[in-house]
Amino acid sequence: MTTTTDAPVLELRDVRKTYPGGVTALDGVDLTVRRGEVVVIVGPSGCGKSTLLRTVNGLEPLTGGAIALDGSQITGSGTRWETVRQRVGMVFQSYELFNHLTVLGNLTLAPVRVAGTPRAKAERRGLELLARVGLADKAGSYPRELSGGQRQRVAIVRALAMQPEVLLLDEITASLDPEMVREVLDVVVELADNGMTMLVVTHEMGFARAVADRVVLMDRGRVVEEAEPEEFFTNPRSDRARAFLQTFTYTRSTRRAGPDVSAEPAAEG
Amino acid sequence: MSPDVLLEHAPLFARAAVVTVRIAALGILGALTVGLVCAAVEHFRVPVGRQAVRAYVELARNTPLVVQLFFLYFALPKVGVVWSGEACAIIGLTFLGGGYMAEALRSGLDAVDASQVDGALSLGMSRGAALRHVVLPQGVAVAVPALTANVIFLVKETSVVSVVALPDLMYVAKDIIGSSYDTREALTLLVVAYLVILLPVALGARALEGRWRRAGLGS
Repeated sequence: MTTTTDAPVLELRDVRKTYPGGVTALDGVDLTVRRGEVVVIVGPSGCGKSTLLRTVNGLEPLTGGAIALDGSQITGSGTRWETVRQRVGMVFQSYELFNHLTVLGNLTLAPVRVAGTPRAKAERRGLELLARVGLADKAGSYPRELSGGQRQRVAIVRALAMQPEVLLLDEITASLDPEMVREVLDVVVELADNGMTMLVVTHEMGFARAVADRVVLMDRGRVVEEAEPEEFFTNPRSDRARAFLQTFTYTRSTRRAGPDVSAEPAAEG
Repeated sequence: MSPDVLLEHAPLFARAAVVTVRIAALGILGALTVGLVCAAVEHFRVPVGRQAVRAYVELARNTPLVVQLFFLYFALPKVGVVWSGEACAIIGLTFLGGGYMAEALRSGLDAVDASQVDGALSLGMSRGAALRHVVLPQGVAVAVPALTANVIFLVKETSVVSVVALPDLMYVAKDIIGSSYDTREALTLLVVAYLVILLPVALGARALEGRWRRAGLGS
């Protein structure tokens, strides 16, 4: 993680999102991601972190504020999102692999159809990427034939096949069985070590701590704390951050514990 | 039942079968085209267009083909639109089948998770490319059993086109019965002719369903 430079790749300024029904998901978010940096966003469910990720590649239109990619604004009426999205890859919680295509077909569809890469070249690159995540032997398989962890690794390299400058990872381990989480996170850590710029939303605090250059805590559509991972996890500044981190440390409630509990009549279940 | 009589009438049925197949093929092609456009309009919730499609689908599916043909053949000339019997039959079949195909394709497209489009868009695909390369292949695979059922249904529906004076299989059978009273032979040939047309269609449809399930839904 020494590859971080000062050049900002993503700059979010006062980003706002209010749904037509009046619900405010993002209430003025400022965030900068520099080249080679891994920024991890954490926060309680519904705090707007996934919405924020989706605004960066235009899957969720803004209702206020601005986003710049490499210094040029990408929010506004003239934005060609097709072009922006080729530079900003995204990996989803539920993979979104194309079930009618083989693994290799998933990896080559966008390079061939969107970027105009010759099929043979796209396939060669696809096979290289699969080998990198240990799935070279699955090139001809269909997504249905893979485990969740394998599918998510395919989804990651599918995004990489477009050679994006930034990768958005939206709770990519949230629908995985616990024993498959590691194989996916290992891939992400390797990407981080190779200098990939990433904006990551996760509930895995251990992962956040391991991979992040910076941790951002969001609550109710705002950034409430931004810190280096060690500082965030060992010495959080805000009460909100302390309260949030406490939810991850399970301690047995003292109210119901203790020897007198068994002496009580079974009043409640 | 006399084999000689069967042989005597067989060429008439062979010629009529060509008419039936031609009308069915063109009508089904038209129905698929209309159905695809309507399904896309509904799937993308195009304002106004969507309501128009709904109205059309209900009208097409809830009126008999005979009535639609009468309308095209006898009512439209009153306002200056004159079409031949064959044109009326093909347009009528397109009108009727379009409604059924639209429903089959729409439910297929709707069966594809909307987040698949997010996946496609996130790779830089346009909405059109996402529809063509991601949603359609999966949606059509879901719709194939309904589509092939519609195809068979539409071939059978051609049996009413004689009302607009087209010499199809049904017309020839009725003609023979009326003129020579060879009722049993005529009806036997009629059944055989429809089976000769429809059995290969049904077998082809089954093979197609298997193939599409594998190709469209990833085995």
